[in-house]
Amino acid sequence: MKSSQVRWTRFRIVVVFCVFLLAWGGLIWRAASLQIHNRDQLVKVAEQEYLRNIKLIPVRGDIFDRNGEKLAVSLSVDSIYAEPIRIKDPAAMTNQLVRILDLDRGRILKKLSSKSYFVWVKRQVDPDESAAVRALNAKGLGFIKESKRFYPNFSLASHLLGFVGVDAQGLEGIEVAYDDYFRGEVAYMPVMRDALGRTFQDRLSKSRPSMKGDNLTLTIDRRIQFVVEKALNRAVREYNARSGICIVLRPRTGEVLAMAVAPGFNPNVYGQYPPKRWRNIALTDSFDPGSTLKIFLVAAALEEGVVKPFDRLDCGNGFMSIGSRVVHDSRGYGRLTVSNIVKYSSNIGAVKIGRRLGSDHFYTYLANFGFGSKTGIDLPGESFGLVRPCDKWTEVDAANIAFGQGISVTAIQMVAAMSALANDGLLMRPFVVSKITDPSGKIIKKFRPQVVRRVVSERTAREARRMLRMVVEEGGTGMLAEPEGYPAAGKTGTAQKLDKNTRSYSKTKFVSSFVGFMPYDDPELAVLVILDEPWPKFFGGVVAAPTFKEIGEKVLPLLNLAPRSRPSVMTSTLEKKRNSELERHFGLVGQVKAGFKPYQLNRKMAGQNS
Amino acid sequence: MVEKETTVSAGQWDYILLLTTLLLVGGGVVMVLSASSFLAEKRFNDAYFFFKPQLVFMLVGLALMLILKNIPYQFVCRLSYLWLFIAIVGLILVFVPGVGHKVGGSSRWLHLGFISGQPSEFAKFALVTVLASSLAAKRNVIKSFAYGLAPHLIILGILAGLIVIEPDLGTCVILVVITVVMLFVAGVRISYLLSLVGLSIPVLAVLILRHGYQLRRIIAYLAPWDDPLGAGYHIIHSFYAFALGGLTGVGPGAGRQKLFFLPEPHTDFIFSVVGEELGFIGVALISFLFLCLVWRGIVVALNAYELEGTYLALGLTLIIGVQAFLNMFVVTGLLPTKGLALPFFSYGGSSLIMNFICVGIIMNVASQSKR
Repeated sequence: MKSSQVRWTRFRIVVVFCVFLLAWGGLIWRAASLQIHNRDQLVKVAEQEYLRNIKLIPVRGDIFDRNGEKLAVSLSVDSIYAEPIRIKDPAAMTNQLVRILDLDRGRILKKLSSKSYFVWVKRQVDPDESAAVRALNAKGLGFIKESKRFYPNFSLASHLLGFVGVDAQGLEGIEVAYDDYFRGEVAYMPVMRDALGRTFQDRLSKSRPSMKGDNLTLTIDRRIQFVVEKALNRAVREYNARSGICIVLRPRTGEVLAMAVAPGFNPNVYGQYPPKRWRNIALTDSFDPGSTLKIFLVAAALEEGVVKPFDRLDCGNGFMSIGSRVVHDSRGYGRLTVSNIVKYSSNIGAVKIGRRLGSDHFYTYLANFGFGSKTGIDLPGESFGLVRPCDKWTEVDAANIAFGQGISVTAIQMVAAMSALANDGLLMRPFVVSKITDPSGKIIKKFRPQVVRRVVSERTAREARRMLRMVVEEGGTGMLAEPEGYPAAGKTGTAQKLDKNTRSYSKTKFVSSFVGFMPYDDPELAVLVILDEPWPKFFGGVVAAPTFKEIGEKVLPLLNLAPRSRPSVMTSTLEKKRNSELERHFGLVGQVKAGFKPYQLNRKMAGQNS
Repeated sequence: MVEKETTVSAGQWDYILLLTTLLLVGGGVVMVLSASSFLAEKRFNDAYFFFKPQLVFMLVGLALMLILKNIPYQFVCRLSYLWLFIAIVGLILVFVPGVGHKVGGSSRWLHLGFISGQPSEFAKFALVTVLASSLAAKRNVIKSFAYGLAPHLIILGILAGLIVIEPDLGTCVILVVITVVMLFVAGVRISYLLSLVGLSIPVLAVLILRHGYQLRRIIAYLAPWDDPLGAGYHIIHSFYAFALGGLTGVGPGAGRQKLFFLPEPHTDFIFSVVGEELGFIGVALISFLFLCLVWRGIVVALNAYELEGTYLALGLTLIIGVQAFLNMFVVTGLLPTKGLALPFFSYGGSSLIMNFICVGIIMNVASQSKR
């Protein structure tokens, strides 16, 4: 072989190697494209196909009252699912399941006969049912722990708490308002799926996130709530009312201690009640307040200086013409002081004060007391009520509004406004959640009392309180509201409802209420009681005041307030002032702070001595 | 080569070739374990169902390699027509019921008592030995059609024809490529080779159209995303595997595409598992090892003692190299899907042992090389 031929052969062999080199280069380029350049896009498509994220719903956080009592808890219960593709004999399995679980045969058979990978058989089953199905040991059936909401106090505070749906989603009340906290962080457990559709968990990603939502502590006191509901339910029954509302607030802070609506419902089985039963009408519904509004009119007039407490106004012996209409009082009064107009709830007196004050001023004060706007309470569904702008008021409207007709307010607005008078003129935002804690007990959020605004001066508030005290004293319209052993103050209201048929005020349908606070000299509670359409008795001072009294008598001792002698409005203001100074520095006089145990203190002191 | 002959030093090792081979086979058995254990566990209740025999084949192969390294390649070449005869008989026997064995519609397997294997693996070896000895013998008449081209084409035709009717188009393509490259290196007229390639195109087209699945594979190659759940399914899941591996891979054993998504994760698509578990770095490294193997083979061919050794070393290198690169091209979607094993990696005794035999003979050629 010639050497040129050899050289050519060698050259051709090198060419072959060069082809391999090129092929290798092409391969590297391709691999880089797949694994680096276009990677993210491909991975996204791939994960869609075989990564199935199973949504892990954390155990819902609990709800506690202010003393740590459980109001809503979550129990871990079994839910049963099926993997139809793995079930060989759907008919036989349906028979077995129907025997144990209360299920519709046809629907289950259809589900089990399908070609899907996952169907629910029955969710949140009883432990007995779960055990029975487990005992079948059937292929293609599985169990998932789910959290089920349970309200251990049944209907207690049902409207306030609300309830959750089957997927643990808040549907009403606090459950929906704070749903994001209760839910906790929804975790997605990546579950692999192989080509045969079977799921399995990746060994590497076994770490599961904290599977519990946050806990809420409410300002509600379960004991007070219980007392309130009991009293309210009895009143609703006794006076044949359609419904009743009662709210108990701490005037100084705006904390809601109790909020009840009668009739209630059991949130554990909310589905058994008509949806309108679920409504927390203390927030959602508004009504004509009636005479309870007079005190805000008077407070406004005092603040503006257009009347003085002992100014006398002519109450026209029970009749007063406004245009073509006549305003009545329940009894004919001659000249009444402003204080007595409140005490006897004279409509004519109120109209005259309203005229002195002027509609625009009155409107401004109503708005400042919070009427016509949301209070900002941390619950869903609150409505605005209806306060028409004062430039739309006719003379008759202005007169009506002076004694609380032709204006619409919600229960929470009314009790918040009354609290402002009890709280020396400062309007507080009402709230029900005091703190949010994570599962480990760490406080995530703490809610502090919020001042909305100063509505009237301290002095005006004190004057208004004095008048409200007179209402409850001998001869006032609210005599029946005075609890045994505790001085109280408040205002009655009996509003005529608008009859839809006759388009005039009804003579038989009333909204009767009492709103006040106690103890008078140091308001700890602001309480509103409303009865809708009580009959045949209907005066607020007759049907609602006794409920106020009952609540006071039972709740005030719970706050460790000892009964005391009745201070009259004439009690020396000096003494009161001294008391309030003391309280400001040392807490409530006569009240033992919660959790304070004297013997512990003694022991500790003894230990220090030794 | 002969003319430049200086000294022949027998018994020397090509350490790079040895190291490359050991690295490849070591990585290969590990990947077989990783790729097959899940499948084996599910199917045979034994995670080592594929791994254990592969380990045995590896040891047998290593032994054969060491033996052949010390047997002069001239002896292998002298018996080339015997190998050819055995290969032809074997390829015919796969169709004989009783000894032949049908898997998935293809007659590729032969069971002879205690031993079984794929004759097509042996056919590649037989073809290379015949071509090497024949081309070396006809070095001076290589340009003639009758002597240089026709006899070799006839041998190729017989072997490829038998393999094509198994059917095993992948191996058939390998045979054609090896033959064309060897003829090219030997100096057969380029015009002949070009017309040979030209002629094979209609033949290939007929073969593809005869089997519906071949056509589907071509379509899937051209447009895999048009039918991701049908024809494109395999290649797309191979893409996923590479993509999920990224730069560094998910780690040996942690791959997920092998969980029934990839077809044949431990045989034809084992390189996808490499891509997922070892990432781009692993892909680059292993493909480089194959390139390295080819490079050593070429160097051995260039330094061979005589022309027959050159052709033999080249042909044996091509058996491994062409197959390796075709396989890697297929799983990365650069070529249509073909049933091709990745040398040293894919599970399978015949293939692994034949690869060792090839390396062993190359080593012998190397040991006789001139310095």
